[in-house]
Amino acid sequence: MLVALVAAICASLAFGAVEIPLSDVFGTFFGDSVPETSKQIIEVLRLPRTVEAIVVGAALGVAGACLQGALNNPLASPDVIGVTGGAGFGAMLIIILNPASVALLPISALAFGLIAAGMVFLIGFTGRGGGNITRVILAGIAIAALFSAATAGLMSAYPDRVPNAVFFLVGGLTSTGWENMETIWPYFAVGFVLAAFMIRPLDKLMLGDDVAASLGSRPRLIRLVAALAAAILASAAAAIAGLLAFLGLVIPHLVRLLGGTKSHVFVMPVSALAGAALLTAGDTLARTIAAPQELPVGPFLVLLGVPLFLWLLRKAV
Amino acid sequence: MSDAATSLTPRTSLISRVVMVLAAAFMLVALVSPQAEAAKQKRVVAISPFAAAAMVKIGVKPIAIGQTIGGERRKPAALRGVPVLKLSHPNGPNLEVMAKLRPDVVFSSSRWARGSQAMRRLGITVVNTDPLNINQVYAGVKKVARFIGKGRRAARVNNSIRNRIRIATRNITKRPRVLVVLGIGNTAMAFLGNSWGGELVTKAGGNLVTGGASNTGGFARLSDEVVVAENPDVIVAVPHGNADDLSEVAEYIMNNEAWQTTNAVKNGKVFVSTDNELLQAGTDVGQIIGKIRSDWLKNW
Repeated sequence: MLVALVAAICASLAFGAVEIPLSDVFGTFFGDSVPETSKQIIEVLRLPRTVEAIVVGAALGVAGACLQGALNNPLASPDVIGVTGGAGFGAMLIIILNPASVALLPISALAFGLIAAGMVFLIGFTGRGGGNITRVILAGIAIAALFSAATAGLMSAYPDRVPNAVFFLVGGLTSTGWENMETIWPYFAVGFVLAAFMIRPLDKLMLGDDVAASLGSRPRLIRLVAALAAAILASAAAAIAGLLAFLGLVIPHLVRLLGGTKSHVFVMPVSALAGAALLTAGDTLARTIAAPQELPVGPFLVLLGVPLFLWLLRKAV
Repeated sequence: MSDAATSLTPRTSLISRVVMVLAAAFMLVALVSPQAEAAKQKRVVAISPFAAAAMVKIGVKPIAIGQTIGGERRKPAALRGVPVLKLSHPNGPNLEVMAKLRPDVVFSSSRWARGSQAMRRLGITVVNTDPLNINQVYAGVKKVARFIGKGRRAARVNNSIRNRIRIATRNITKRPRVLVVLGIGNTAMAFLGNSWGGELVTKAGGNLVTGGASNTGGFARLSDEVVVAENPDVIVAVPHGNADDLSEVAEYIMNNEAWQTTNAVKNGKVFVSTDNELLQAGTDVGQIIGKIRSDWLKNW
């Protein structure tokens, strides 16, 4: 998986809408003299975008692994805890109602993703029977439906502004330099650290709540913290790359099928690598296949991921 | 008998002549009276802003027009006071309102296709007239004129449009590279040469920055790498009808990290279109080209 990621990173830096000789690509990084335009394209456009692809892909892979482990549900993804619906609504508020403040889009998407997840956690984890998996999932579905309806309402009220929103909704990275990352990186950091701390507890949770409790764990707390880590990571990912929930759903399954183990010690870090590799490769394809036009990366991820996933699924069954 | 017959003939002939003259005079009066003009004139609703403008040029007022998206400055003065119909996607005007208006003809656009079908079911003749390029403007004027029964006036209107374009495109010596972007989003949605605005900018002497992209829709989500490599001298942003946000749109583009090295940003040549002139076809083609040249391309 590491090799695949390195190959994807190299391709992402080497290929784009403008053809740049490989010597210039290397030259840029090793301080050689290269044409100013080539240098700028690599430093200001390709490098930040590649880093974004790595971080967002890894975040979605880890978020999926965390959620599927915490909710003990193979269908769990950032959709299930309302993050996707909330982030989508937050983005639409800016794109449709206040397009001039598009610089605030990542903040709004992040904030509403977290608000949606917070509402789900409030309903799912508090009161009598709080922490029940079914309750959390149903609360997530209801909150996601609420935000999706609000998004649809905004889009139908301002149909002429919808084209700009499509790119966000189908998911895609952009070449906006380091600006987004400078704002969002602390959320990624917190999410990754929380997720790392949940690796062992999630493994205990796989044995069942009673066994986990007898081993000194607190299942309800583990679920809440793991889901919180997933919510932070998925919201931060949506803030940068739009709605790419597919990665969060499929990557952990791919990793389990490839590795033949469900242990989070394996699944969590390899999901990060696989998510990063798949998103980096998909984004490179999306911005080169119809160059100079850029296509959204979402459909490419599906094209790349689904055949592999189905093949592994068939092989495993 | 024959005398009587011969004596009657001149009198009968005189009476019939008087009657004929009176009838002709009556018909002439009837034809020129404004009431008759109104009775004869078709009841026309122009949902398409182009058709409304064309009707004014032809000399006929519609009974209602569609709301204009993205600015009112181009609306002809003659249309002030004409009822404006609210439009909603994808149906266009409210069908009950249309049924009450009882128009003979509605000039619509393909973007309201679903509403057009429903209007046809109400027995209304619906004609699509929304040009996507300059050639279609001439054809559109002819179509509008024909459907309102003023076919002969189309040639005069088209000649006037042609002359204005000829004047506006004279003596172009400077051809700057121009990037025209629609709205503001995460990536640039660029106008291509086959879009309305793209064709006008090209006519005005601009070399459109497209990176060779082609798309039947006239717009393409262009890679920032192409923008940097083609280095536009002028960037024109076309917002989605948010007149209040114009300065913020320009500021956003000026601060876009990816475009900092372009001549347009370095020299402060970033402009924002304040109306729908690059999105909506009209009969004022020459005037728009003139504006593009004098305000943005500075080659006039």
